[in-house]
Amino acid sequence: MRRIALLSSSALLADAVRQEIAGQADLELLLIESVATLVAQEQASQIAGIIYDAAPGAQPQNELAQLLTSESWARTPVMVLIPPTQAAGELKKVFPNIVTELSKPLKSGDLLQALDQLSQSTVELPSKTTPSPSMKSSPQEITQSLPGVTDAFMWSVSGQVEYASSARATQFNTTMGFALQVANRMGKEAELGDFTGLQIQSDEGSAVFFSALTDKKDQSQFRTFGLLMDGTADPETVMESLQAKVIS
Amino acid sequence: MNDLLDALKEVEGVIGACALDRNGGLLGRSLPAYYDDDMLVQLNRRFEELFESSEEILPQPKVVIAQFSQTWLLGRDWPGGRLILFCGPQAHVPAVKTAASLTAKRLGKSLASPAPATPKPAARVAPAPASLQRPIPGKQQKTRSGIWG
Repeated sequence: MRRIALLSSSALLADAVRQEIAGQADLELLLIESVATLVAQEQASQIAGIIYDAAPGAQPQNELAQLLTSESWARTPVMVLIPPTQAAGELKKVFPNIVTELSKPLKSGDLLQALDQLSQSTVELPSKTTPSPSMKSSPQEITQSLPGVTDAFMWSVSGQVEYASSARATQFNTTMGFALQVANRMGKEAELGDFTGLQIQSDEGSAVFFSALTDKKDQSQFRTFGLLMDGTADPETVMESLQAKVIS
Repeated sequence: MNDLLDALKEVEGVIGACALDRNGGLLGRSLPAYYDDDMLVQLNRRFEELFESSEEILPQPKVVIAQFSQTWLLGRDWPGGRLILFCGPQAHVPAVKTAASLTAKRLGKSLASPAPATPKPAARVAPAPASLQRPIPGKQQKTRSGIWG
């Protein structure tokens, strides 16, 4: 039995989907009104996929994005139902787990095909290799060689996630985006110069962000790095190692 | 209070520091006049935002370091509020962190013990070092690459 969670508060949509899948004995549709309900009532291992209705007034994207960064839900495939006015590309930045999308209004037959694709898909944690040709080592090699580093991320100059060792990249992206804005304002207000990096430390570990040209001769090779470390890592040592590995 | 803040400048590369209470009020400062009180209060608000947003990726952050091309700032919470250190490029991050941690503990102790019945000394203001003068428009500033490099 494939159990699909439809995350929508629209009874009309639920009816339309139910009619479409009527007769599919191996499909069970769960109408879930909120992310909180989904988490409270269902286990990730029991859900073959999530249909997210991206209609105006739908469930907040950030709540679902947050859920999909958790370890148990990170590999759950997602299908989005996209309103005519919205582009799928923007949603893919928020939900890396999107494996298929359908534009509304739904066309008969398309949904079943998309549901097959949804329930048969597996989500691999995002992990791209060597996006910056000037880097001496691949991001995976770098991450594995840095002791105490639990998560590593790399963003391009346009803010696209180019490498993520875990599905927490979305959460990091959101937090980093806000923190960078704050730090930039801080730099301007106090005339401290351009903001170049941030380090956060707690009893549990550290997080660092920094930006650098991975090739000093090529302005297009500007990258921002994010690292999450456990309490055993020394952030300064890790940063020095990382810089030595990525800057040529 | 100001004696503890003055002592931080003995750490190589530390330009000065200030301490603020939980409501963001300035408790003491040992910094060049270039950094006026209003600016310090505003900087603390920005640190507050950084600490709050950091909670999402690292629960209960204790230290936040913001690096800029001309200087870097360290914000550290202590029981009575927040300590902010201003550092030049040559400052050694682990040494500054340790000094900030010790000072935060001492500030906490000084709050816990009854204050002596002496008049509160005026905040000391020292002239700005050459490295912290306002940047000259059009003049290339020498900066370090990366956050700690």
